[in-house]
Amino acid sequence: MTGYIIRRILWFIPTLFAVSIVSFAIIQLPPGDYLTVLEAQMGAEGDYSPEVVERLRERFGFDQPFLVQYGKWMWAMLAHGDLGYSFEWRVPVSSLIGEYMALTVAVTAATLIATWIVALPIGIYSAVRPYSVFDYVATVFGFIGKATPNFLLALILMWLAFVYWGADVSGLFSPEYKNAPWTWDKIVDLFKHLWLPLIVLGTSGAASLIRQMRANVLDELQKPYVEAARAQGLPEWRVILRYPVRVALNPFLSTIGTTIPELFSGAVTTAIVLNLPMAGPMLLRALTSQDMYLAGSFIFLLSVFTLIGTLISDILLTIVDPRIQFDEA
Amino acid sequence: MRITSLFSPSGVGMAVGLSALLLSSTAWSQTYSEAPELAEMVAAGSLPPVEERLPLEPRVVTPYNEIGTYGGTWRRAFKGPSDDRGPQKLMEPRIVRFVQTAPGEFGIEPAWASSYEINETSTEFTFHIREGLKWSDGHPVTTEDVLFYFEDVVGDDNPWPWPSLLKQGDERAVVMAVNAYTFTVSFSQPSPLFVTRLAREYVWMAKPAHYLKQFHPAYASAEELAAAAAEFEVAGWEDLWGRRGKAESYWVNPDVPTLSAWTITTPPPADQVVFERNPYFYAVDTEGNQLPYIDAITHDLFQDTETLNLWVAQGRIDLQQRHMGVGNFPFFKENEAAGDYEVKIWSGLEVDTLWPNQTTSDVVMAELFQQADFRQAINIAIDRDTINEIVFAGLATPMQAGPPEGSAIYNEELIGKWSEYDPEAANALLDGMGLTERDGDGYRLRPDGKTLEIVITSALFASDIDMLELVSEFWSDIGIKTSLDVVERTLYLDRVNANEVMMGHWPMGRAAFFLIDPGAYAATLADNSWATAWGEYHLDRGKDFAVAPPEGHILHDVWAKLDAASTAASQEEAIALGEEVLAIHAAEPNWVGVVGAAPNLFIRSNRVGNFPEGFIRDDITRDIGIIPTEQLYIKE
Repeated sequence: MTGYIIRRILWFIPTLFAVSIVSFAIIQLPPGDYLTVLEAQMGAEGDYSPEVVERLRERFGFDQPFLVQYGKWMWAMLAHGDLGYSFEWRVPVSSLIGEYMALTVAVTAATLIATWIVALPIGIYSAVRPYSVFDYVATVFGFIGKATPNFLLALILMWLAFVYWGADVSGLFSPEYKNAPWTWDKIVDLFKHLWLPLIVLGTSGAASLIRQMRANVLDELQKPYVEAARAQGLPEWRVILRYPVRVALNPFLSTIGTTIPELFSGAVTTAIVLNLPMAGPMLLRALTSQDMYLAGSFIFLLSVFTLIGTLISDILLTIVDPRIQFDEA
Repeated sequence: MRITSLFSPSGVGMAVGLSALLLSSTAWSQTYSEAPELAEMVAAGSLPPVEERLPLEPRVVTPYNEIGTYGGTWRRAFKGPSDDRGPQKLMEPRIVRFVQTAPGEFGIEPAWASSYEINETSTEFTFHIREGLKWSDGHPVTTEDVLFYFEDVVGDDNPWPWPSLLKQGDERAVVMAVNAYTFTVSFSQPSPLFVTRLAREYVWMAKPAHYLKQFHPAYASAEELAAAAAEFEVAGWEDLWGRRGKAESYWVNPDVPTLSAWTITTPPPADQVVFERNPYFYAVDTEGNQLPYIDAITHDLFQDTETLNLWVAQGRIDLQQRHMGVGNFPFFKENEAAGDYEVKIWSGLEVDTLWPNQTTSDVVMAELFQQADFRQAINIAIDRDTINEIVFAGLATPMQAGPPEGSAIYNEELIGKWSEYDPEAANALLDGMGLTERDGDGYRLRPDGKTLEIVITSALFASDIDMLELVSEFWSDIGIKTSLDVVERTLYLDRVNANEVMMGHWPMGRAAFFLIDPGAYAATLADNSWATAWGEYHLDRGKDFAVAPPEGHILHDVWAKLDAASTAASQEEAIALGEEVLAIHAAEPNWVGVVGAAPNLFIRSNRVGNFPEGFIRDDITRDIGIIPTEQLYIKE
């Protein structure tokens, strides 16, 4: 097992290398660069000066070929842990994305956990009592939840909160805490704002999770080993939790790796609508302004998280289901 | 409602008269008052008394309505680094600035200068710095800071290029210090627009030498520069300078001394950017209270305009026009009570305009666009009233593109030309040009037998697209097919600059004073690209598609007149030449103006005092910065 994990981690290196080249190339695909964006902005403000732009072009090394720019970025990252420089914000990328990434990971993790806490019991109950009133309610909720786009749900909830409570539900912090250092009050304030993103981000995930869980458990309930467990006189809740549910969990564990990037990308539109200080909006803005090192670093870090997620899901799988063996060859 | 005072000789007289007024007003109130928090600091000994902080002759600002009270925070929102001009326009550290004393009554006043004089030939400009003026750290401002700016900040081996404002052709103006508080700017040829352009362009005339020298290679050693770069986390000392330079920019560095009413205390990339009062700001109100009244300004970062709209409705915005779309007028009105604010309207001077590129690479279309009959036909085929009602809630004015009423130089004929809806006459004009053949769908055929189709390239958003769709319906009625190509702003500019656009779509703006930025009329502004290849010929930037307009084309005349205006001996002469340029364009407009002078919506919280109503807003006159923001106050 340890050997397997080490090997998997070693595989990260070529994978990340490939991802970084692809993401850097994608960022460079649109015509122009950060400076053409800046030119447009300056033109709109009436202070365009070709000389300023030319000086910056040299300064930022945009006149160099793609591979040279990529090589410099990679080398700085490997040699000094330097993710490069955000042209737009004029700060090192590393000092810019720390908090955004932390909040993104926190919100994503919270969403994942909340989804499971809500969805698994409902899915199991629906399977154990199929075609009951509760099952129908859960089914209706599931389909609606799955069918409603996140951003629309976010807009509707924001609107309702505004009309009925006059409450400000956007963002993750109240204005007075935005620049405040981390205190207990700020954490409380964060939790006051966290419910909306959790609902918005979690609803469609929870909905599909309920449907899958219900189907999986229903399948397992028909199997002879369930009959055998019952025959041994185990209490019904133990029978269900210990056997069919455990087997039914397999697909979820194996999809953690893919769920994480899904949540990240789903969070982009939601975070923009809800004005969340998360990685998504920052990444989008970096892409539109062609702030390439910032965008590249975000994509790179998101890829790292995805790889780690996949690894965790594989490890969990072996723990939950001993039938799964790693190929030691 | 015309900006006459800007160009009239009284512009100079006014400046002088004003400083006389300042002298007498300082005589009235020898003692000054200050914000309570500053008074506390003075009492505690951490700040010199207000009399020592203010210059001998502070700038006296007359509040629009009443003397304000100190305190409060002005809450606004911004969209990120690309939006930095929004916050900056509230407090530009200008030597002279535009003022608007009543709607449309514009003028230019000395700001951190106490006065200025212009010689008779408009070649020499003498500025007097307010004696005793201080940077926001308390250090005196003298001509040393001016010379530092021109010797070490702008120029060939310096962080900034030499400003075009101080150049005539390749020849630079000469800046000389007369004494510690007086300096002159001299040109070899007349420069009648210099002061007006100075009130608008990003040329600051002084930088805090005592602070910035430590980051400049002429004063600091290589090791010191390297240490500074490391401290600011940038690659080299060059990155400390420039528009968003880590040391130089007052929008990025809380430590750099400024002459603004507020200084930044929490810079980006914070989620909320905060500015706080500059205790050394050089202005007082008419009762001798040091300005600004407002303690702090916050800008909350937002991603999506819908979020901002909700903030407005929740009363989280105190005073802001930027990002407030006209299309949201009903929503803003509905929520006035809930958000405890009012929507205040200023008039704008932009005209939503289509730009048929007479030099487009599609030769057949270029030939059609070059014919006045064709341009007239596509102009009068548009029902501008309908567009105004449907897209702009009836708030804009249907018109041809040109400086709207209220602009300094204005031609009534131009903005009225070809703007009456007359589809029959349009059809007749096209028939008269011989475009009578039609294809199977009823669209006219071009002389080369292809369907007559105009491709409109636009980089704008929802309401503009509604406008374009209506235009394409109207054109379809006269047998012209239209297709829309909506692209990102950068790509738009790229395509225009490569002469790849058949018809562009961008407002004609900067009209308050078109001579300051006359690119639309000279075909040299990418946004207003009605003859890209000819404009490039004049710009002479070496584009391979650049070509001279035909002999006798109006552009030759326009360019000659604009060049003459920029070196005219007097402002009157420049204005007269500007009027001639508009008259040339009024004969046969070269574009398709649709609607313009749309209102600009200000969200003004009921707790904000001294905000004037009904003014004219324009980028030239610095948007909201036209009002002295330091005299706004929070009623609490």
